[in-house]
Amino acid sequence: MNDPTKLTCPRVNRRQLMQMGGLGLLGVSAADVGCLRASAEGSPQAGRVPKKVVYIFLSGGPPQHETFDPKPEAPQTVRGEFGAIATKTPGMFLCEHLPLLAQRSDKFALLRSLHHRSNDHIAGTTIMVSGDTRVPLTTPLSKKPSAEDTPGIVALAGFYQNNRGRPPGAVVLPEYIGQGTGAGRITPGQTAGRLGSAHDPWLVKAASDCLGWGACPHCFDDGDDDAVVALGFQHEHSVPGPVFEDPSLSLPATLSQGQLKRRISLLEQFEGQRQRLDRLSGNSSHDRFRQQAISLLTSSRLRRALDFHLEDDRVLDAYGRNKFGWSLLLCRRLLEAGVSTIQVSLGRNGTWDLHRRIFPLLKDYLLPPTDLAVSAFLDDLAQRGMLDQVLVVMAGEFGRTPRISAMRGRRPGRDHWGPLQSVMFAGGGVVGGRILGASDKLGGFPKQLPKTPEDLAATIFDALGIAPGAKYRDIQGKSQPVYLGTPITELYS
Amino acid sequence: MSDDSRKIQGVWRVVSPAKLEYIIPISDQMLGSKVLYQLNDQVHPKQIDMQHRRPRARPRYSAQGIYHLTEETLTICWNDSGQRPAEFPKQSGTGRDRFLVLRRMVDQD
Repeated sequence: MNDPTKLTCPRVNRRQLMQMGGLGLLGVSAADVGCLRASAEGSPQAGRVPKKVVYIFLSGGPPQHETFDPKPEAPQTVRGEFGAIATKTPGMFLCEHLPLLAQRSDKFALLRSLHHRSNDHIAGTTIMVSGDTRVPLTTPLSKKPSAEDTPGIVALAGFYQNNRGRPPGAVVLPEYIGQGTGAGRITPGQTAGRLGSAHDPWLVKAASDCLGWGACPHCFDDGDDDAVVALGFQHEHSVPGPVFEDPSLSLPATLSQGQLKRRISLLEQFEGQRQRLDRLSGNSSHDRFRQQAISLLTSSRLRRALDFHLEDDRVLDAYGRNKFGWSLLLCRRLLEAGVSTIQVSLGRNGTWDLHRRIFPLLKDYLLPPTDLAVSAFLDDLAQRGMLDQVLVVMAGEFGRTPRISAMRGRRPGRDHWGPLQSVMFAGGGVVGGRILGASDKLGGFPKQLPKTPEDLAATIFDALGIAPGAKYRDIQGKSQPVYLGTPITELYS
Repeated sequence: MSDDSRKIQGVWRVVSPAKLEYIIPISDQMLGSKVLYQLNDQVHPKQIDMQHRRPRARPRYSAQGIYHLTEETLTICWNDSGQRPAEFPKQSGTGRDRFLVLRRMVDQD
């Protein structure tokens, strides 16, 4: 049952669905029944071996100058405080605070010319996680995911994996990208949108609810300005309990807290119910949503995967004992367990939003754990023979301004910049040690090979083996194209 | 508004401890953008109370200190124990007393 073209819509009413659930485990609503109408058109491409995909997202907008596109020849007000270092690849330079990635440049390619038009966090995130720029360029903070949104790349990819009776096709970890400081605000574009909430990615929530940004427990607070630091009033990671737990399985984002609590309560009774769930999962008329949940709960392989503390100490050290490292380690374990598409956030919402104190925050908090964790992840995949089968993409919602902004009395920073960002691609057949595209001399605009978020999404869909003309039928019954751009084939040649 | 409340406003650079190289703008209510302060210049030594406006997840978020203010320099002394120092210590860094010496920034800074 892995062929999306064979996905059928069970002819059942709500009452029957509730009865089928038996345990009342996941409370299917009328909306969920509607979601079942979504279906796919277009088989995986003949002769193609579908890859898996990991989309690493740096929320807030990482600066291209201080990561993958340094400009050592630019004026001081543009190049910033950091130097550039040579990599294993002649002619490729990275920020000096990414030495481990520099040693592994043969494993990844850089696209230095991705652009879109929004400088707004919510719009930018929506654009980059859904691969669709047809959204208002600014979006109010109150905007919530809706059933009219373009499906998120990961959600749509998971839909096409159709892992019925297997681990879920799409997972988000260790948290959804949100906005503002309030918990539960989920930036649109990550859910299944008009595919229907039954196809939302599964949230594997592992991170604690720390108010800090970055790689907990070594996290920081945006409010730690000079006065705060000088007086010793800094934020400290102080959330009781583990920084990063063996994750609880969480319901898709569009379900209510009440439903979530009921599920958690039932999870505690899980062991006693397992046999019964196993029987239910063999029921061919079961809806996909319920089936996925059951497969999650009954798969011992998946449950083992979530217990990342089983890893050897050397592996834990290699990734880094912090939120970034544990997230990517958990990601590798889920890939091994059969999950095919994973969105991983390195830092909660706005972590990379560096309007001020950009240099100390990058040097002391963000670049070292990112360098370590991403390098370890690439090494680990390569050593396990998985790198060729997994496309790794790393991006943010936008880049940052070429000129450093330094308001009087404020430490320097860079502001939002949609017109350019650098994207890292690795694995999945990508030819490493290459730079695709180029930015202008100040690092403000694409100079060669401009690419769009639609192209990035198409590259992911292509890697997953989704046919170029593939369409899906949304919950309104309308046929919608999967591809809104063109795969970046230059990555493979 | 007292004389000191007016005089303290501006942009200051931390000159001791020298390694900090911090810049702290002071408005009528805030040190930097997050720390609220209140002065009492009717006592000797003059007192300054400081508190982070968002104390969550901060082991220390307030301090009761003393200060000395001239046109060019501002010295603040407080104590990690939470008690207000009675006087400026003879030497910086003695005991649990903490010092900041700030110099007013002028345009060429």
